Parts: sequence; C-alpha cells; structure tokens
Amino acid sequence: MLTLPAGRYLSDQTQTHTPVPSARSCRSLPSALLGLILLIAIPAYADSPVALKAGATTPQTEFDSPGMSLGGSLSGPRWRPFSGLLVVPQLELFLARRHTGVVANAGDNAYTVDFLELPLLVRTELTLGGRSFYAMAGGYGSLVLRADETTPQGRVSPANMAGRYDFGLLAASGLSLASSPWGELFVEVRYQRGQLSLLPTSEQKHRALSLLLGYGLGTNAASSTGGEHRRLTLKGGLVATRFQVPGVTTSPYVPGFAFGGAFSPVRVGSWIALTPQVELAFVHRGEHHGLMPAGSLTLDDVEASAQVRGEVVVRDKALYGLAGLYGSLLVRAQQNLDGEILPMRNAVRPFDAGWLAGVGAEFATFADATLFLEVRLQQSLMSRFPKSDDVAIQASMPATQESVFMVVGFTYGAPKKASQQTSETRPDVLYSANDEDGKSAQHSGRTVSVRVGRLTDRWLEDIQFTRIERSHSDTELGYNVTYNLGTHGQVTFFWSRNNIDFHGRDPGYRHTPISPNKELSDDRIWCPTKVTSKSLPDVHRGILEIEASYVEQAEGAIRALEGFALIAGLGSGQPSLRIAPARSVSAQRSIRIGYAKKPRSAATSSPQGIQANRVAGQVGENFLAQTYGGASQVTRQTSLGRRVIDNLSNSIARESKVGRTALTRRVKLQIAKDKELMSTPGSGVLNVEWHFFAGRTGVGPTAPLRAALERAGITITVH
Amino acid sequence: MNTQQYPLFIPPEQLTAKPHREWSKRESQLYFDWLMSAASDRVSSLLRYLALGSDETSLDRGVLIAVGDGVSRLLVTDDFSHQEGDSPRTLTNHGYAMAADTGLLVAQLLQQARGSLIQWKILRSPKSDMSYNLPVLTGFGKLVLDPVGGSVAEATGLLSSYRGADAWVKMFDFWVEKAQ
Repeated sequence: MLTLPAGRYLSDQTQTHTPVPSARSCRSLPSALLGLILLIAIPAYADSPVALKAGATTPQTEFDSPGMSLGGSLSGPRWRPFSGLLVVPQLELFLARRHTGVVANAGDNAYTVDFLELPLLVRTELTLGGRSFYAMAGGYGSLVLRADETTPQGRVSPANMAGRYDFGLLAASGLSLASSPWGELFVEVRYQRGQLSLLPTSEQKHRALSLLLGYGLGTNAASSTGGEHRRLTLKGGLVATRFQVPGVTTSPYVPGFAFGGAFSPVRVGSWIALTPQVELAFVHRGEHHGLMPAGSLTLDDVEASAQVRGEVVVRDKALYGLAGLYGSLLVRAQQNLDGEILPMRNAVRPFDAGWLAGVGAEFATFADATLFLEVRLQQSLMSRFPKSDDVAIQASMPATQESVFMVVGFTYGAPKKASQQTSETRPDVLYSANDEDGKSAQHSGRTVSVRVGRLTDRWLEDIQFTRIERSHSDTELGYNVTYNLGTHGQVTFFWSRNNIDFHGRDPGYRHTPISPNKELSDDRIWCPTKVTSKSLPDVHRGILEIEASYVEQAEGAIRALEGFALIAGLGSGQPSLRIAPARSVSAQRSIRIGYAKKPRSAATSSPQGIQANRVAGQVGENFLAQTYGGASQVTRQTSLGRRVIDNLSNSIARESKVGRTALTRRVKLQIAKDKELMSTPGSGVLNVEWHFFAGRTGVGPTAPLRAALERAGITITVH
Repeated sequence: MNTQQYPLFIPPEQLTAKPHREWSKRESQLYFDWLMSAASDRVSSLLRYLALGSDETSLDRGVLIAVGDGVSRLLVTDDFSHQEGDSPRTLTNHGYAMAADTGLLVAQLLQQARGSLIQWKILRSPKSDMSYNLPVLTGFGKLVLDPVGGSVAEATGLLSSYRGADAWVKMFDFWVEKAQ
C-alpha cells in the first residue's frame, strides 16, 4: 500500500514560545529525497505495504506556523494471530522541520530545526465493522540536518546545537476514514519524546504531538504491490542538444538521436504508483559549430541513468513524470573540419553526469506492449570540455550540456494492473479478480462468477469475485474465496483443498456447505467442490474453467431441469438429474450439482424394487431390461474419444443443450462422435437426439449447427 | 420353427439384486463366468429355436444371415415384443433373451474368424462406460464390443425400423474388419 498522508506536527519543546518565520532548508531536502528514494526501493524485497508521508509542523499552542515534513514507512511481514487482528512491524523515515518558538531558558532565542527521523514501530490493526483501527508503539532515532537560531538581533545560521542526534519513544494511533479499491483515507495521532537535549543552553527534551491525515493507495487485501511487476521499456527518438555557459549566450540546439531501454524491477502503488527504473541509452549528438576553434564537433555517448517514475493510470493508460540522475561515458568525439573527420576524444571529457526530468504518456496498447511518448530534459553538472594546452583542440568555452529528448517506445510487462499477486510475492493472496485482463474488476465492472444450481436457489451467480487467499479450517488446508455481494458487503467462503479439483477427475455428485457471513445467515450457499487443482497458480484458470463447464453442464442443465425430466420421460422414465427440493433452509441442503449418477429405477433396480419382484417370482427375468433399458450420464468410447451421453434409453442417445448453441469446435467433435456411434453396429446407440432448452442466451442451434446436425442425421428437438 | 417359449436370460440370482454398475469385482466376475459357461448352450438353443441346427462347427456368416432373418421375423411377434399405444414395440424378456443370444452368436463368429485376436474381458474402466462391469470383446484397438448389449440395441432398432434383418451380419462384418 502506498500512502500519502499530510499532517500537522505539534511541537512541545518549549513552554513559552513565539512563532518564528520558517527558514527553509535547501540542503536537507535532497537528503530527505535520497532517503525516500532508498525507502521506495525497499519494497522490491518486501511483501508489505509502503507508506509515503508528507505533513506540516507547528508550535504546540499556536498552530499557525506550519512547517513542512516529508516521510514514509515500510511495513514488514504481517502476522494475524486471530481473525480481525493484524500485527505488523513498521519502519518509517521522516524529514521534519519543527519550530521551537522562543525558548525562555535559552536566551529567548527561537530555533528552527530540521530532523531526519527513523522510527521503528510495531503496528497492531483491528478491523471492526469494516473499519480498521490501529495503534503503533516503538522507538525512533533522529538526526539534526540543519538548525537555525533566531535571536532578538537577527537570525544566526547555522545554530550551534548541543547535539546532532536524538532518540526516544513514539506512540501513535489512528483509524481509517474511508476505504475504496483505490486507496484508504486515514487519520493518525502520534506522540514522541526524545531522550537527549539538543538546544545549547536548555535541558529541554524534544517532545512532539503530531496529527496526520493520510491516504493509502491501494489496499492491503485486494491490491498491493508485487515483485513480479517488472517491465522492460524500449525507446528511441530525437535529441536536441545545446551547450551553455551561465551569463553567456548559449549555442543553438543541434539535433541528434538516441535509443535505449529501461528496466523497472518493481512498481509500488495502484492507480497512482512509483516505479524505480534504470536506463541505458546510446546518444548521438550532431554537429555543433562554434565549440571548436574550427569545424564542428559530433559526440556519441553511452548514458546510464537511475530514475524514479511516478505515474497515474487513467483508463488503463498511464501519465507519468520521472526524475533522476545520469552518468555518461564518451564513446566517440569527431571533428568535421571542412569535410575531414578527425578524432577529437582528447578535447572532450570522457564522462559526464547530471540530472534529468521528464514527462510522458501511454496512448496505445498492443498485446503486452504499450506505446508511449516521452519528453525529457537532461542537464549536465560539469563542463564537457576540459582545459587543454593544445590550442587546436581547446574548446572555445567550458560549457555544460543541455539536451531535450523526444522519444517513443514500447513498454512490456504488466505495470498497470491493480494487483498481480502470486504466492511468492504475497503468500496470503493467490489471486485477485483485478488481475483479469489487466483491468480492475471494480473499474471494468467485470464479474467473475461461478454459477451452479437451480434458478430458484441462491448461488454464486453474478457475484463479484474479489480474491482467493490461503486459509485453513481447523487442520484442513484450503482457500478463502471472497465475493462482493454489493449492498450485503463481502462474503468469504472456505473451500477445502481436498475438495478441489479443476480437472474434474472424479465426476459425480459433489457438494459442500459453505457458511457465509451474517448477512446471509438465513441461507446457506452451496458451491461446487471439485473446483480447483492443488496447484495454486491454477486457481484463477480453474475458476474460469469451472465457469465454462458449469455454464454447460450445471447452469444449463439444472436451469432446464424440467426439460431433463421430459427427456427421461421419453425414455426410461429415469430423470438424468434429480429434481432438487424447493428452496428452503432445510431442503436446500439436498441440492445436488454436477453430473448425475444413474438413478435407480424405483420398481426394478432398487433393492426395494428387487425385493418386490422376488416375491412375485420374477427374479432375474428383467435382468437384460434393467441392464440395457436406459441410463444417464454414461460414456462410450469412440475412435475420436469418449462420448458422454446425457441420457440413453431404448438405444437412443440424448444430448441436452441450454441456450443458443453454436457450432464450436467442441460441438463439432460431439457431432462427429455421435455420427460414429450411430454408424457403428453394436455400439448400443441407434440414433442420437439433441434437445435444446431456453437459456439466457436464447434457445436452439445456430444455423450452422442446425445444418451440421441435420447432415449427421441427428434429430433436433427445440423445447 | 420351435413353438416352445424361448429360454429366458437369467444369470445367478445374486446379480439381479443391484445394477451392474454397483457390482463388486467378484460379482462382475461371477456374471462373466456364468455368461462364458452359458454362451455355447444359449447359441445352440437359438439355432435350434430357429430350426437352423445346433452344430457349432458349421457356423459361418451364412448362418448369421439366416439367424438374422429368423430373429427379425420373430421379434415383431407378441411373444418377443409388445406395443403400447402408438409407441414403437419394445422387447419382452423373451425378446431380450433372443437378442442377447444373437449377440453371443456374433461373438462366437468373431472369435472363430479372428481366433485369439478377439478376447472376452470384463470392462472395468471407466466406471461411466455403458458396459462397466460387463463382459466385452476386445481386440479392436481402443474400441470394445459388448455383443449382448449391442445386439439388444440392434434388436431395438429392428423394432423401431432403424435396423433391418441384416443388422447382425453388418455387425459381424464391421467388427471382423475392425479386429486388429
């Protein structure tokens, strides 16, 4: 989680104080930024949320002289001792400017002190009613970066402080104000107390009360960051370069070209994110006149840079800004002296360094590649031309280099997905629906659902699938599957791993009772148990497979339960799927899903029926009728593979289809198998009938399917 | 042609207590053994009933054609099938028995034609197969033939006009060709 809080610090360092105008520090800011960059880089090795914080500070009683503060935090591995409680270590880094006001026992002087603070805390988080409350406690160390002293006579800078560092204790508490898939707004109060005296003539110890308002990007549960967010960028374009000396007219921009690539190891955040990246490029700078005593100069460099890229994802496209440092090595320098090309390496410094900043936008996506346009400014911090005793190669002036790049390129990877967790990056998060097609389920409105059961039942149909997490129930390992029930909130089900099999290797009736939360306490929701495989990465794929499977085999079949009964009526009178009792709290538990085992014929094959026949002295006479009279969900091997027959009676195989059915590859294969069975003497199948029932997508075969069925000699019945 | 009642197809009593899918291995083996021991006699009974003699050593494709003719004529009679309303005729227990025996005859001819290439076995996998736990003929690649069930289906087809008197000879021709 990336958090951007803004807050106010309340300093309690003095008892009498007067607001002092803030004297901004120029040196401390780069230090803080460097620290933050290092902090941001840490998540590559962590599986925990990161917080980036910014705020303000003011004297304790006057609240009218806020200074600036900047900080961030990194949370370590999470421990959940029991449901609802979370314990997590947290490391923070803050740059804080605090005003002491007038210190009575320090010569009525006032101080403005810039601190770099490093708190190490333990955070406990309790979730109640969908809102999280947290408390933190721990210690901190601080380093004085800069201190200014304001005396009645004026400002003294820097101040002569008693010490440069401090340490102490810190406690804080807060709560989330609002949470959404895109982030979390929270407020936090903290108090800290130092152990050392920092002011030169006072024993006063540093104390501070802080009020923070924060905003976290992404949430811990549904979307966070992962190390798999690596991406590779290839780019190329034009570069315009000029050389300048302060106070002197700069040279005109001269065009060149550049190409290279960048690599991002990690992405922190969700729809707003930070991405560190390293870049390597080859840059050709064209012929610059006026730099050399005669002719023009051409430079070729290999440049490496380290950058931090901040991006905002809007409608699956990112707008971004980047900043960083670069260094370059001179590959070639040539002088064009009226057509004569001369090496000029000795006239140019072999290396260069400076800073860069730029902006860019992504505007098109092709498969896994995203096309972007980027503009950046690059400024060297040293002259590219050293002094030389050789007049022939001495540049006209020591000049720094300024380059403007306009490049286009492709980014490969999955940078914009709100969540792409794996068991390696987030052991407790296996899959988030946000991963699907790179779009947030919440953004796209996509629904991932598992649909089984009767129409009159309450199933997982069209429930927004949120995530799957590892879990256990007593000693049984499995997964918590969380669905978003809209106004009912979220509901989490436990699926035992032992009951999970994506590949349906064990067909037959299966059902597992699932206890939803209190919102559904008056009901019980049933879901298919043979759903996933043991392989964790298959969870998502299996859910989709199950969807497809049940759309055909369960949703449709059970939706058309009466139709099945009709089919059975045409044949042996044995329904291929049992009719589930009407929905009620007690009766719903008997609902069955999936393939139906062959039901026993009431009067002929059940033990009770056999007993009745035995009394009548007819034992065995019906053996062949019972054995070959009819069956449901049986298979027969063909040269094209095994054919599953929904219902077989009087040697007529019946296939049931629900909804508008097209001539897919799978359907073609079914037809081919049916054709083979019909044309094979002794196969046990004389004729094949396909029965179509109304579904959400309509009813009946498409024209191509109808034609294919007719060509195969299969009877079509639309109900 | 014999006017006596055709012998019913009655396996050991304990096998009728539950569907063949729920048989134990021992029970499926019991049925297999019973069918293997009864097959020859039942084929002889069929031939005798059709007045085609009972000499199994003279069995050939021509006999099967004659059996098909005889069976097709008998099956549509009330002793071997019955009709309710406008529905197609359905086999009686005697009709089932005759159809089964015709299947056993086809099996005997297939084994006679292809020798040890074709073997009886109990189909034990997959459980969903139509002939699970029942004796089937193997030797046709990955396909198997349940001659009893297949013949019953052909007889049903004859009653509903899907098949003609040549159903069994076509069955023989197909599977003898399939044997490999």
